[in-house]
Amino acid sequence: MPERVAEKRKVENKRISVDWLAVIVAIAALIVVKIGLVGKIPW
Amino acid sequence: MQEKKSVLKGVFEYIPGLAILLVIGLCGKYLERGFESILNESSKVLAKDMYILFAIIVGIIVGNLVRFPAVFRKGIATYEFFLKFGVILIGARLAVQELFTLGVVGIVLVLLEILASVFIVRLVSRRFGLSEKLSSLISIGVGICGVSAIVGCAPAIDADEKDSSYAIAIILIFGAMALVLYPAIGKLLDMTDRSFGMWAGLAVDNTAEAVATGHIYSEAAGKYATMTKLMRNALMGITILGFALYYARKGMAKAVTHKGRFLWEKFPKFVLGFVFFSILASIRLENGFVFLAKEQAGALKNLCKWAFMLTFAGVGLSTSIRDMGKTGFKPFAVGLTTELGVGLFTLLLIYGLGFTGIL
Repeated sequence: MPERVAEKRKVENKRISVDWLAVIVAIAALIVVKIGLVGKIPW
Repeated sequence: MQEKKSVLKGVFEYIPGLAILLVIGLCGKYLERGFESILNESSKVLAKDMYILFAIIVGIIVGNLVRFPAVFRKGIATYEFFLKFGVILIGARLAVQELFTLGVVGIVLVLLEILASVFIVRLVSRRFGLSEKLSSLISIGVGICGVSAIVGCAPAIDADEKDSSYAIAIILIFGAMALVLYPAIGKLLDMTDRSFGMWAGLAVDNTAEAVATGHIYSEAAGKYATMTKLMRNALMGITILGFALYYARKGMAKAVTHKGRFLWEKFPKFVLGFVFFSILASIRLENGFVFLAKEQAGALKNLCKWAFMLTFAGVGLSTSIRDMGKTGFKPFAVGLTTELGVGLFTLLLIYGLGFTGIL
């Protein structure tokens, strides 16, 4: 039982850190685009 | 030195899976190009950003035919990161004024949708004799945020693994169906981008599928679908807290001691990034200064497309038809009835607002 709770807590913590990582990487991308390090991103 | 090596090893562990996401995503992108002329002719039924749908389809086919070794798993699981990253970038396309104007209407719609989901699931679950906890997981999955809400709620109400996997399978089955059915219904009903986007954001359960459904309809609809879906996500903490308190009072789960901390833990932090980007993108000064010039906004838009390409390749790869088949008749029937009920209810809400001129 305690292992199950610990496992679920681990999944929850991972979700939270992915959230913050996405925010940090998005801000980094914005800075890169804003200061002109990357001009056009092709699609 | 040892630490540096282990960090490098950690990074390399993601590369095989990421390479698979890239290959499948590119298949989706080039299939879209290949089918462009055909799609233009049939654009009455299917419309924009079809790379998303193609990436999901190719992903589902490959993922269900090929059993990938463990070395690919970490990289494939990064699709969740790319989804959140892409969603934050969409914030840069939404003016903050629009976010707040539509936000007021949206929050009322979301609250009504959550109440309707809980009510319908409870009603149908009793008919089919489903356990109370399974019905709570299905209602939170349908009402709020699909898989994340179920994963977040399961420990709070002490639900067992089997119930969680049933509820998750239901969300994934109907999410996959929504990708094709909702845009087709929207086109048949000739819905505006805003109405369709808000409908998809309200009625499609999982964030990935809601964002994809909106984008398949049109780019603008994708923006509104994302915004509405994020409102549902933002209410995840409050709803889970409600369920946790209900079960604790009945002695079926542990009591919640720090409610404020509980709410903050369950709040999806990437929503803050979305709002932050929307605020930045709305900065326009009287002297003509804009925070994001046209080319910069264009670069972020394309970056978002790349992120979604990888996301939906991962969504497809992680959709196991075999697991879906294990759902069982009763949970499936409850899921089907609830999805139909919520889909119809939210469509009527959107139409009602359309008639009153609010939307």
